[in-house]
Amino acid sequence: MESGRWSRVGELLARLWDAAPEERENLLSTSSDGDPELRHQLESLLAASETSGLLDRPVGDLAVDLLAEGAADDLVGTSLGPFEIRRQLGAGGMGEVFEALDTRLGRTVAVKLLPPWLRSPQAKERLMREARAVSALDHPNICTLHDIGESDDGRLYLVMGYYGGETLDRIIARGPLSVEQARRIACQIARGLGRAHEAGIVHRDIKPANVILTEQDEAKILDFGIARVTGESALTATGGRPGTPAYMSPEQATGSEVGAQSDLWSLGVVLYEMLTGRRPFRGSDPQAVIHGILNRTPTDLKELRPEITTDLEDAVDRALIKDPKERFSSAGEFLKTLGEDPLPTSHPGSGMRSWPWIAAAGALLVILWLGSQWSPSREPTPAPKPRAEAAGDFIDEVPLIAVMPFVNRSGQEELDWYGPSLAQLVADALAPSRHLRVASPRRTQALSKQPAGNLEAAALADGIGFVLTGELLPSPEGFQLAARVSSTQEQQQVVSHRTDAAEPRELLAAADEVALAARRALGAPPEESIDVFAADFASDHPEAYEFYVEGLRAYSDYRYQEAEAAFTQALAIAPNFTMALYRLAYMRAAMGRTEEARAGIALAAAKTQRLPDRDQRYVRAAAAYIDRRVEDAITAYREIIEHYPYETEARSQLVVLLHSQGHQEEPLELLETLSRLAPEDPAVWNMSGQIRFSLGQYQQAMLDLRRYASLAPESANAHDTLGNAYRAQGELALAAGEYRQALELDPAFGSAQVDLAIVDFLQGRRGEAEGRLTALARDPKASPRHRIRAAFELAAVLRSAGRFTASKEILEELEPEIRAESVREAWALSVRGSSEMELDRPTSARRLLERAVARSPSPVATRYLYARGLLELKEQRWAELKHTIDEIQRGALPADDPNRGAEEKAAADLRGLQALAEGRAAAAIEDLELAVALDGYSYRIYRLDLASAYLAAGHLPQALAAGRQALEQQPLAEPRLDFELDRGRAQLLLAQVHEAMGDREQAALHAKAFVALWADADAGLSDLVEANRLATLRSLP
Amino acid sequence: MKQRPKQEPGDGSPTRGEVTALLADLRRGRREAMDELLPLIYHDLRSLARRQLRGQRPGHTLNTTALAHEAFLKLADGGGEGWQNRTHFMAVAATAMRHILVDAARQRLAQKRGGGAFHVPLDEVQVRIDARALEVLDLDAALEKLTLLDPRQARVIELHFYGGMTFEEVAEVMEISTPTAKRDWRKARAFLHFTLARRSDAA
Repeated sequence: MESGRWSRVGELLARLWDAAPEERENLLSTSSDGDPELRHQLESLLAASETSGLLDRPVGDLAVDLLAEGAADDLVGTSLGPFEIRRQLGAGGMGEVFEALDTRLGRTVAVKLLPPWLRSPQAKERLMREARAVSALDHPNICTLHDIGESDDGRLYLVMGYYGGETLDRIIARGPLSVEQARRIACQIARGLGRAHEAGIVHRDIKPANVILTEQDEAKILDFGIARVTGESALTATGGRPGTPAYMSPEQATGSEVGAQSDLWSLGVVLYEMLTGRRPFRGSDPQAVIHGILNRTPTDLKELRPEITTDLEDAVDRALIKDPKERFSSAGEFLKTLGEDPLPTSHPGSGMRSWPWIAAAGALLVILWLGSQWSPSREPTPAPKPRAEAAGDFIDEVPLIAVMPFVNRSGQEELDWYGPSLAQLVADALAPSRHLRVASPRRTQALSKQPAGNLEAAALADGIGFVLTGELLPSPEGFQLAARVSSTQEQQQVVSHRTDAAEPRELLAAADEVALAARRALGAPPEESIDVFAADFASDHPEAYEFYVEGLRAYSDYRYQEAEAAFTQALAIAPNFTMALYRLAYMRAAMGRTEEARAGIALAAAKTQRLPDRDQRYVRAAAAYIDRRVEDAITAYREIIEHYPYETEARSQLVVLLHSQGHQEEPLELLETLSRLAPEDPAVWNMSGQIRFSLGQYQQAMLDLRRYASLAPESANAHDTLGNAYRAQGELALAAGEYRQALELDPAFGSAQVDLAIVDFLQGRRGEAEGRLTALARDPKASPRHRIRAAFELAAVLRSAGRFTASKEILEELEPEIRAESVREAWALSVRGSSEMELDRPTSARRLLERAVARSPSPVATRYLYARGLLELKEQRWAELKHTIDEIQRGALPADDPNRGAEEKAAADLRGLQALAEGRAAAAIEDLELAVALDGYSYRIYRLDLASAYLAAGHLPQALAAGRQALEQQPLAEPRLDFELDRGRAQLLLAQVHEAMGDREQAALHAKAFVALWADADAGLSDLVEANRLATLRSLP
Repeated sequence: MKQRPKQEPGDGSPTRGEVTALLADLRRGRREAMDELLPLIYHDLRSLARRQLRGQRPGHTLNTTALAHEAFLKLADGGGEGWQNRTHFMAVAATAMRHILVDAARQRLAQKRGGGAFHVPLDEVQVRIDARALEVLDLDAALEKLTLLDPRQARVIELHFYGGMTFEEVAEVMEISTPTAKRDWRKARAFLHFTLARRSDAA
């Protein structure tokens, strides 16, 4: 462009700005008549004038970054007291370190200038006190302080011995050390630590940057006591860029009491890093590192470097034991493990006595030196990675941003709700990016309780790299939205954005601009395009959006009823609000109201065309899920994760679905990633606990569940689940305690009611159990899922007491709910059929069992065929029974499948029972022994059947043993009430065995136990007739 | 850029008298006074900025206007009639600030090139500072371009953006009306944003 043209363009531009919006187009056409290039230029300039950019930021923002570097150069050449500053050696959070000349003595020293905020009298006092304590340590592996002084402007500085050499972090950055050198340095550090620990002084910040290796190859520990003096730890340092938590011990990371063992842990980390060139616990996000410290076992040293000797491996292993009580208790132990004498404080080659220092008059001797580098996120050059990274390591590379609620400063109270709504819109627009992660509402909410000045530090401590904050302001044009993104590590702004609007609702549309600015600032590539329908919709229906955001908040707090009300209101205002439809349907499905959920999701699925891609996918996945098209749902959620790798919701759903389909490895892998994406989310720990629990990993499950309960102290579910974990381990009393706690928090909590009833029953409180279950099964206000569960458990309780009529009636009563929910339909039919069989009504029984088999998913589940087989056995329909047995075996898994046993043992059991009925006792014993052998210790029924066969064959001692086992056997699986019927029947069988053995007294005792159990049983049951006969047996005179 | 201050500070600190006299010259229209003032203000402003950055907790932005004012109080005679020199001083400071930033950006990128011999680990912060440096250089180049097209608009940008001067101050020192200053700013801003956007698209 030449200048003449620019002035013309400029004039036209000014006129366009002055023109009313509706006249603009006209003006554009006339002024650029016949000059398409001019028109294009004008349009581009108009567009450019709308965007905010570099010129809208204060220049000071630019200056800060560019000038901060090298700022310290200006001290070089000046003097601090008698010290002439020659060059900068390093800079760290706690100050800058210079090489300086002590003009009085003509020697070189190192001077550390503490940051200005450490000049309060209290800080000085603490520094002096610590200095005195540390000064008593006179050790070649601990750096010494010559002097402490105060600069003209009141800043404290420390004067320390100057050793050439290099800090260990720089040495490691060039690659792993030789095994011998690593060992030597570790031992020297241990000696220094040993001396300090003897004097009761803990370093608290042992890391390579705090160890200097002198030109004489002598390791010297720097910064002794600094963490204590400043009261700041690596994570909470507010004075500068905080360091990495990589060297923190677990107890330090959790903020617990820290002792000598903590330093030894850090030494273990340093040794590991010296040997391998990499840290045992890594991640650029402090939260991820801490997670590793608390939960992970580092990769074996020998795997990374085979030539590492066993003693070094032992030393690292024992230093890195998570429990400080199990760790090395002293530096001496560490040295002993490495075959070193722990006593000598001196080591070969170190002329300790000739240690050159001269204390200036009145000097304090402090071991305080700052050689560390500013480089919290600068990892040393990593050694070649020997194997694939654990799942989820990619997460640490991605910036994490918290979108805080906007603050309404417009002076109009009715706009308050814009704050959370705008934040939600911005977060939604940011979330689909592959290049950043958005902190969950839970994390953001926790942050929003922080005082404003503390926001960034708190976010940083939570591992959040960036925060987006903003306000709604009054402006001459109406309103202005001001937003900015700050880096929490730098504690400074990285981008800001302002938008003016005449109407507040226009501000909602600006959410996309804010998100765009934030994405750019966080390094998302410009080519990553993201749909922006949400803000459009919100600005068209601001009131509906307000309710929607309210609903989301309630939903994430598990306040389902409030959430439901809010979503319903949103839909009353905007019936086409697809996301509100989706959320409502999804929530109803979770509440067990499947029919409503189905109708709602169908409506949502028909209205996805205006949704962003990610949301469309969620709606489709939820539709499949609610329709029980499980495989489709799994595929849909997998695709979401592929496109949007940081979506926690899709991952959680996938975990649940895969687990329900019997997958084990993949859900756990997903959870590992999830626990790093959303460690604050109690649901993650809940799922992890549940799955580990179902895999029998009870200890790990308890840990996860406890974490769940601690993150969600108000959650009844947490206690219920913990109760289940106790129950599985046979701790019934403890389990009952947890269930009661759950019911205290939420008296209507259905799961806990059922679970408590089960424990009551197992502990012999049958009446309480029955009462509780009956009330819940019949409570029309309770969730259908819980009612159904209660009905099944109640049916089992009743069956165990011979009350088969009542048992089938409760399931009949709940039939509409069971059908509507399509859960356990086949099971309900099968239980009812079995009860009819007990009641000797074979026709009804047959009809129900056939229906159960027909309703059962394909291939037909063994349990239904087995139930039908038992009926055929009772009716002596041998041909049909043979067919059933064949069918069971056809369904059997391949020979090498670990789950194969179920079909085999059911078939063997039925074959054995047939042989028994036909009087072929020997054959029966053979088959039933096989069934028991296949079963191990899971079900009583097989031992009971085997006992019957022994009895029939006259093998009475064997019959007695098998009968007792059936009675007393504690199943390995979670106690289930439907096995209790077999337990009662074991009493009856034992009575028969004792009778056959001539022990009439014992026979009567067992029979009475059975009669007591079946006191309210249906009339005329053959078992009861038999038991009554046996109960009246008197010992022969 | 037309004027380049010397990289090394002068032989001694300028005296207040010197600076005050140069400012008076400038007010009287002697353009060369600007060239003589610039290096003096440049060095003083830079060390003030650095001192402020050193003493601050990280995260504070740099208040460049306050810095320039501090430099003025230090370098010029702020009392009496000298106070009228303040606006002119600020105007020179604006140019100085532009130079300071451009030089820092160049230095930063040069260091990076020089440091290419050893592997520099990827660091978010470093990457962002590099991006800042490029932004500053891009803006400078665009501003150079605008100077050719419309020097007055370019000067308004310099004073308002780099110098943090209000439109009233800009108008006063450039001897134009405040609305003109605002209009110039708006046009120049559109031009620069347009140019910068095109540049980043091309990249």
